[in-house]
Amino acid sequence: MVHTTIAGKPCEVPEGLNAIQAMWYCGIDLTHGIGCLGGVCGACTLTYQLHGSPVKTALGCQTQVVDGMSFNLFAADVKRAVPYKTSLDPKKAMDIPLLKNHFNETLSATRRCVACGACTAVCPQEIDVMQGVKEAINSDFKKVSGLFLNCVMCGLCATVCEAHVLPHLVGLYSRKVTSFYLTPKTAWLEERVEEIRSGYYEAEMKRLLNYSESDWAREFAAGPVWRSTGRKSDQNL
Amino acid sequence: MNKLETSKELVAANREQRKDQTFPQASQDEKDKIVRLFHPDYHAEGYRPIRIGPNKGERTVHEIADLLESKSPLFKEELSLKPAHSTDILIIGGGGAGAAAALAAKEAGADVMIATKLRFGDSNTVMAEGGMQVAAGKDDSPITHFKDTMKGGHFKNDPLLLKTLVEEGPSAAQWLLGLGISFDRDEEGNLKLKSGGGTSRPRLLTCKDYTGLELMRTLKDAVLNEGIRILEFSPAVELLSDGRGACTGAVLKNLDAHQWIVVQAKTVILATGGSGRLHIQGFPTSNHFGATADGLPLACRMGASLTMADTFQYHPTGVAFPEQMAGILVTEAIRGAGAQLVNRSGARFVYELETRDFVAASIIKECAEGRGVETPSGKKGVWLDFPMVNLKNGPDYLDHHFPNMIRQFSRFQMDVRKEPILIYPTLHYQNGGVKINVDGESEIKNLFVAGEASGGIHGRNRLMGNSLLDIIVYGRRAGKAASARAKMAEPGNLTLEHLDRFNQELEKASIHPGKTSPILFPDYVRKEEVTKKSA
Repeated sequence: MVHTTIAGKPCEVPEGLNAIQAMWYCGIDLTHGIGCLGGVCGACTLTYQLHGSPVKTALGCQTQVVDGMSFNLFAADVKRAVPYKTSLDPKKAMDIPLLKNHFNETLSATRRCVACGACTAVCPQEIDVMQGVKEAINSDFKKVSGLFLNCVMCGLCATVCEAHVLPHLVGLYSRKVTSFYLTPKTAWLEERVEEIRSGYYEAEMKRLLNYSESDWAREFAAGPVWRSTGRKSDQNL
Repeated sequence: MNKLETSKELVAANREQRKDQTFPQASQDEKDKIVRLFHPDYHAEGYRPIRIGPNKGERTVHEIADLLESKSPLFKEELSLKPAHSTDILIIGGGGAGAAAALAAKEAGADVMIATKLRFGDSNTVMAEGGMQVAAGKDDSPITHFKDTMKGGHFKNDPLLLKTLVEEGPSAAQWLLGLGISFDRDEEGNLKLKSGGGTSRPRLLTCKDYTGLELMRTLKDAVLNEGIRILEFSPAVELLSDGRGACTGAVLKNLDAHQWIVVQAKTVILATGGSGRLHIQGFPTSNHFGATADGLPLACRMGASLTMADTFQYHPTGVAFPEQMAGILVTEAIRGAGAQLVNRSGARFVYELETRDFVAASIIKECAEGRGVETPSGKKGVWLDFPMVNLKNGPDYLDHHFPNMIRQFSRFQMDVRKEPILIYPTLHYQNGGVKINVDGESEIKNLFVAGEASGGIHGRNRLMGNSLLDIIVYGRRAGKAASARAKMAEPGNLTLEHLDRFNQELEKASIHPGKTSPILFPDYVRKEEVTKKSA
């Protein structure tokens, strides 16, 4: 058994529980501060401390309770969407200078970053958040996009920011514009959509819709035909 | 050294030897035999016939039958049905299907409201790791996608629903790219495609192993920017009807104020998700905390039938050890990248990219016949040999492609680059659900269903990556159709008449349920007085 303190109440729990499991063990029923239980939704943010060490933040479902740990649920209630003032025009090509203006207009507080590092310190996903904010100020949205791959949008970074920067939304914004404006178009996909729209596969699909279970079994047993895409070049397989 | 460590060494010792070893695929007869003997879907004691409702006489698992045969929580309430909110479309559920439906409905000009049990976005969607199937490859086509999915579903899929799913795959991907989603791309901008179990071509659109997180982040941002009304911590507990068989709204429960909220809606979209947290047949689950199949009893009490409500997907690779992660999913893509499944003595026993039902049954067989590894708490599992991935693809492959996996295990002091992980099948997906047509409408007028709560698309076994596609394609279809319907309809009367009929049915069948459904949350809280002061 390990000794822990949950929201000020001392408890004993078996070894090897995460913080959420420890709360259940101690009779605490949760409907808030709990979500996917798999470390990706960002609902179960908490603060914890070990024997007088500095207070740290983490996701409850990803935190192993050890002897002497005290913790409290700490829900960060912040904006979960980028406050677009003017939306990006999907038809227009946007280059870095245009994006820079748009970004400054949309997340204007970003430039007020004083580089204190609190956001990085508080991130339960070990993202170098402050570096991301810096890169965004420099309009390197591609780099920011990569840094924020595993952001669970818990919003702890924004909660601790004295300059009211919204780093998680800086990440989201950067990911979106990188994919949309700074990556070449998906040529094959466009072709496939057109091909389907033109009715190219209709006849073959109609044939398959009428299949009985034994037809399916027969086709599957026939081997290579199974791999046919229904395109004319494949008809002789 | 304990048994677990000894076995782990055996696995490390013959890794090099296994690297280029091919393992034969099983014949269809062999597969059928093992699935029938070992897959939980064929475990007769887990099942019973449903005694009332539209699916009376059909079999399902006890856990689902219990929900369908429970009373509404409103059965003894003196409830005023004066609406607190009125809307064109009420969407129940805040995961991927709900969000996609909301965006499509809004685009079609409807007034939309989302009600959700947890926070908006806290769902099974956000947890999806492996990818989304879209026939986008040069050598691929919707025909091939259709066939693979049919085969995976044991040819029980509703062919019309499936046709629409595969045909709208590429345009669904296009729509998501238009919202700014970051799928993995190559230098030319084309989508990088990965293989999954049962796919005859690489067909998975991915965002490393954070595909669901990326999808949910993108959808959430879009929905919130549309200014769509969202009621969080407000699960639905009952639907409302006009007394003539059409759905006209729902009663929600405010989890903070402990009050009922009556919502009047011209159409309702149930996007309540799956049922993993029912722990069917005692299995652990990979699902989020609120996955308690709420939509099924609600739809059935209104008179909508379910289809294939007796089949569930047990994902082959749920974590068996460490205990803190029990049930958590290890993505199938890891096997696509070369990770092997090996038993106690380090021997392979199944071709890793067979369909999920057969791989799961093979793992259960291996453990039942004494070739599994025992965990300190007495559970069983087999090894998923992670380090093989780097051995086959280069030393940084896991870091580049599976950062989520590495991070999650490192939090519990395990390094998957160096050691295999003990796994056992985990309850992952509800293959069946409420019966729908291609517009996502159930048998009840103005009641639409989208996502995991619906059934028929995936047959009796879903292929990896088809669920993320399902929520987008059918979420949007339901949103669009519900919006068109709402334009023609006036707000209906709000009654609970269907409950009178339901209660009479219970009475006639001499069922006296002690419980109510939906249950909303699983109950994991330890019951004894436990918080004793240590000082």
